[in-house]
Amino acid sequence: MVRYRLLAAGAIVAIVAAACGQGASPAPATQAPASEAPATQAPASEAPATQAPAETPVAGTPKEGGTFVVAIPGDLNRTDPALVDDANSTYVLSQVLETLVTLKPGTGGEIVPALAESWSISPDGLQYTFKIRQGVKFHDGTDLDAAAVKTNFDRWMTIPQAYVDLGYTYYIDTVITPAVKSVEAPDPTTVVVTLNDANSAFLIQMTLTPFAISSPKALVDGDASAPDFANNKYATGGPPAAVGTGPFTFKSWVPGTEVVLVKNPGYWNAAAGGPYLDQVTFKPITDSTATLNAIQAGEVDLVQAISPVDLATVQSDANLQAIDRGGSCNVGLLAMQSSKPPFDNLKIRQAVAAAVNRQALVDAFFGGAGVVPTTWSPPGTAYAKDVAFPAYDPEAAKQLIAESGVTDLSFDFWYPSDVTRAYMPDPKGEFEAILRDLEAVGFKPNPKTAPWRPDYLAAESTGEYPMWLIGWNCDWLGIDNFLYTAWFGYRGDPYGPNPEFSYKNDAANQAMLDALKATDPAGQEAAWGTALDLVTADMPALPIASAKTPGAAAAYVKGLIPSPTLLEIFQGVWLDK
Amino acid sequence: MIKYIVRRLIGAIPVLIGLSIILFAFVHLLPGDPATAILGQHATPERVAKMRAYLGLDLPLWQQYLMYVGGILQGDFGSSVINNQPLLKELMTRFPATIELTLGAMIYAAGVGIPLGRYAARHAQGWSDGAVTVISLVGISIPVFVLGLTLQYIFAVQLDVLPAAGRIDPRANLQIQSNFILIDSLLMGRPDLFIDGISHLILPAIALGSIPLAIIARITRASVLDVSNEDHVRTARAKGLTERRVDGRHIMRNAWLPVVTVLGIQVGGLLAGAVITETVFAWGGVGRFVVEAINNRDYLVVQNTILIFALVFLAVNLIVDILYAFLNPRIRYA
Amino acid sequence: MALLSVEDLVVRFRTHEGTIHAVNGVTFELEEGERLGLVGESGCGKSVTNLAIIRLLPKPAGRIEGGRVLFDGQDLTVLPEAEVRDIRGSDIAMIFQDPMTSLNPVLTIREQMVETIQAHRKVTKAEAEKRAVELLAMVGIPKAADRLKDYPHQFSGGMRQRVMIAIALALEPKLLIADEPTTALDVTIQAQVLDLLRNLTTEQGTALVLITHDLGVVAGMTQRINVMYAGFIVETATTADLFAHPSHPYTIGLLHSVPRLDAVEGEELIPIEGRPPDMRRAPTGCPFAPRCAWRLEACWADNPGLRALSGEETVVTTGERATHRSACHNPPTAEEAAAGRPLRAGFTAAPPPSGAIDELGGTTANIDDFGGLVAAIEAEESPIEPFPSAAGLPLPPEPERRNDGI
Repeated sequence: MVRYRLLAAGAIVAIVAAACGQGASPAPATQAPASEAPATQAPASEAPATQAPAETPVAGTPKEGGTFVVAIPGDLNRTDPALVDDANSTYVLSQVLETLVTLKPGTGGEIVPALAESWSISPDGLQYTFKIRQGVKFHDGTDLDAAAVKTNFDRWMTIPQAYVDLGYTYYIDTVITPAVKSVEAPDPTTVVVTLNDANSAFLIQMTLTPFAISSPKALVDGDASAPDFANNKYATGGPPAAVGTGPFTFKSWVPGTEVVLVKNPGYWNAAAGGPYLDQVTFKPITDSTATLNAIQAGEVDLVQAISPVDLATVQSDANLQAIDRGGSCNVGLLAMQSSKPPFDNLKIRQAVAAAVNRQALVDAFFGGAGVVPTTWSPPGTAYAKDVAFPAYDPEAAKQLIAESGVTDLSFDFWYPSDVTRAYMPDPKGEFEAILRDLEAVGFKPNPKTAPWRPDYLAAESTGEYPMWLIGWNCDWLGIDNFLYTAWFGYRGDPYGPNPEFSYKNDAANQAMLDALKATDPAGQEAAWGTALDLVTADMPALPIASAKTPGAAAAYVKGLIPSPTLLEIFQGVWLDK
Repeated sequence: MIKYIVRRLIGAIPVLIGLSIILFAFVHLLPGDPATAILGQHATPERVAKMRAYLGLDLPLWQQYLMYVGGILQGDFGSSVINNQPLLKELMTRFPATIELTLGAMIYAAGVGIPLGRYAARHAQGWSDGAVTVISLVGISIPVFVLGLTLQYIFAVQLDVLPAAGRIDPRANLQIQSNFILIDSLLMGRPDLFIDGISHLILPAIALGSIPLAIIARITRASVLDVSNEDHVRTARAKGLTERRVDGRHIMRNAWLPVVTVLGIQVGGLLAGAVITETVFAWGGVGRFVVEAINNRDYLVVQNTILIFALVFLAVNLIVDILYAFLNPRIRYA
Repeated sequence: MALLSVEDLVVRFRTHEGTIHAVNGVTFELEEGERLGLVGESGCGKSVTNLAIIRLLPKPAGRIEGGRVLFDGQDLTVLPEAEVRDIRGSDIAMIFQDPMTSLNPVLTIREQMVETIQAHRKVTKAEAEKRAVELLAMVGIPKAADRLKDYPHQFSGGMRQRVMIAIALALEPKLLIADEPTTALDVTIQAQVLDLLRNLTTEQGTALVLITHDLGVVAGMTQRINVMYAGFIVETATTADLFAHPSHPYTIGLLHSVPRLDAVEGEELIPIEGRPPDMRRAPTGCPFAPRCAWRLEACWADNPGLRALSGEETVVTTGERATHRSACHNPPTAEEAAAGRPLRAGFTAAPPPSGAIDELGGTTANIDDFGGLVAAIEAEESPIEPFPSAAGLPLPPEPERRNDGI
């Protein structure tokens, strides 16, 4: 199905909404407060957490057995976690293969041990030492050890160029290739990863399903690094394919029809409870109404993503339960081009921020599945403190315009056609609402539109539009992925501001770089706080909305822990029927 | 007869060439660069360049076209950008699902439409004929996806008598072998699964088959009425033949001719409708595959799958024409 | 007892556009082996009469609304359908006008012959085929055995009509109804087929009803002729009598509108003015009155029944001595019959009574407007234009049409 970065392609809001990356960073606001740095990230020290990740206790005594049928909005793409980057594939494969570290179930960023029972980070932030759990077996019966982990890292670092050219290696390209210098396995339980530069996001990135550990034997048997991808059995359904250590083993994949997983009876973490299910079957159902019909008819037990408009139907059905994942992994922006008048004037940018009634927009266009951002990333992102965006106040906006001394208040205001995005479900409608708000305080925007792809994207990314609607679907839930990677980090050659916004503030850029280099939570939090304050003071854009990603399950489904990053392992799931 | 088939096959060549040019142009005249489209928002110039090279987009157009046609002539329909598997192999795993669906829809459309049309013709001008006309007009005017979702809602959600989606109960543990689920279930000696497969087939077949049904019913009615007025039918009656024989042997044998032609044309409609039906009913066939390929900007797959659809369509129509010739001696001996 | 006795037969078609009075009380008889001609223009009801006899009127519009059809003493109009079906094809056979369309194009001759035989006789397929070959040979199809497997389109028109005759005679019927059997054929072929028909019916002793619009066809074929007009028999006589002493103005018109081999040099052809009446109107008066040069005032109001010309009390209805009868208030004299027009000094045709001014207005267009049903009935009749053009003459001036829009 759609890759994260390809989300533009999806016409169905539900798919788009569901496609937020797995990954890291603290939980949504309702869960662990962002300011509480997880204890496991204590720098340069043995992590205290040697116990297995615990499932959240569930009321009732779990029942064994049954087939769990899950509707996903699109099919599995490939059966090798390293070569996928879409939410459907990772949702399936995360049940089968496990990463060195993972997220505490239900959180967006609380890192807990998984295949590594502990880890430490060197003071310079360049060396990550993972202690590999003993006694864990892959589904093919081979043992997990440090050498196996190194084999996986080595494979990522030497992935065939053909795979890169095919565009299958997005996470390897962005996380491994530029960052990892070497990987060593000095003894059977120790893996040392050396980075080129300090990167505080690295540990969180290691929770991403693409960095799950495969059985080295299966990688060989499945020809997982075949120079011609067509010969790669491991990634194309096998056998062998998707041989990991997770609570479920990969059984079969009928493209377009179903993926079948069965219980791993020898799961190493059975002590935490489960797996209880005999079988998990994933069925791709693309149409959102058909999906709703299927769960109402009782043919599927869980719908990974429902359309926000169907939320009320699910909530009113006694046989169903809504899956509320709290936050989301996207942010929509009202963007302003700092190099073009009138937005080269700070007071004008601030006036825009005060003129737009964001709450009214979210209420009108997000069907109860949107939130007004309180910072530059979705609610609950680690290290992303709330900032003081100007409150909706038309009078204040008029005042700011007066103070700015700008008299020519006309400019082109662009919105895209032929597209909907999770963060922008109705571009034209939202555009019109914003237009009215702006005109109410005296701005004179000229309405303009262009097809999303390629015209609109090409023009906005090179800074041609004075004002436009845009947004970001995350690669992982981290403030770095929004504030730095997507929007305001310097880049390019010559190194400088992102031409998309032409936002130039060397101090803010340096604060972001400091945050990425920091090895301790306090240092990261401080640096990101600085960066957020500096950016907010400049108001280069206005975050408008984040969209939630609701799901639905049959009422008898127990033990599912909703995750804001869609990292929902079914180990503890059981069927109360 | 063989001459006739050879002539028809030769006649199909210009059609295919024209189609390949149109499809090729379709992909290459689309605004935007497929490579950029495939890579999406993160496309860096190097990645785009690599993707362009991979897709062969850096060559002159005529060379691309020749390579494209050359590949097809060698049976190489290209590969999906999603898993780099040969398209033909991908289609082979999905065609059985589409074949089961379209056959089901065709059996429904013809099995109901033809008797309905005959009934209407026999009661021409009566109220029941009017009812059939209204039903078929309604059938033609309801979009497939609306009908599909409505059927799902009524029969799966509200009445709970038929499954809403999929091809088999996922809890049934059918080890899918050939992807012909109905055949697999029988081979496994599991008539219960066969029945389950049939029950899954009913709603999608109705959704997909209703437009063809309406058309077939109308054509059958018109054709039967037409033939009924022909002199030779009166001759048949004057010979003292029973109504059953007059109807079955004399009227229908002639009335089949336009019906068979329409059946062939409807196969094209079914293939087009399968794209929507398979999406609504989570049916893992070729139609769904095309939708996914469109979502993935997998243009080569879209282009060549459509070409293969066209080949299937042409083949079906050739078969229909042969059948037509078989039914119609005036053509056979011409 | 006569083989066939049609008594006061009334056939009407109920259509959306109204009721068509197709046959309005036709009575005639036919003895075994007798050959009768039924002559008239298109739409005069001659084909409908015969379809009614074997109950093959187009359903549901066509209905027998009065009278009886006695065949071998059984009233066919009330017989159960299954019994009528047994009679069709075996005791009463029919041959239709267009051999091109009367055979099923997608079935072999073998099948079409065998099914007929097997529908009425318990014989094996092989026996039926053997009989079929004999029949084809009998009607003069060369290499009959080889032709069984052929389809109708592989035969010429004349050959096809021979096949039709073979099928019709397959079960040695007592009565053969031939509806315009040669109209669609070339003139030379016509004669061959007529000869065949005459010889075979004579040999087998089969009674024949020959329906035609062409008096020339019946001349050498039949012993007796009924002339029909607008659903009525307007004149009936032995063939010789009719040609020698035509009595009804319509018959006279027919005879004068076609060229005759025995015509006197320089004799002009006289077309019948006007067109057949609108069959949607219940007939009042003489149906031919609007076109009749001899009409009296009474003709407009009173439809004369058939009356013996000689005024005899006893009427013979069949055979060589059949009474010559005509339905006319003002029978033309022999001289007038020969001249084709009234010769009485000062005689003018009575003008239509007030309120019936449109009688002369044509009705062909009206009938056409009945659509498919009437078109089908018409098609059973001659495809040839009304007589004037058939005779190679220009059509008479189109009568003034006063009711536009039809």
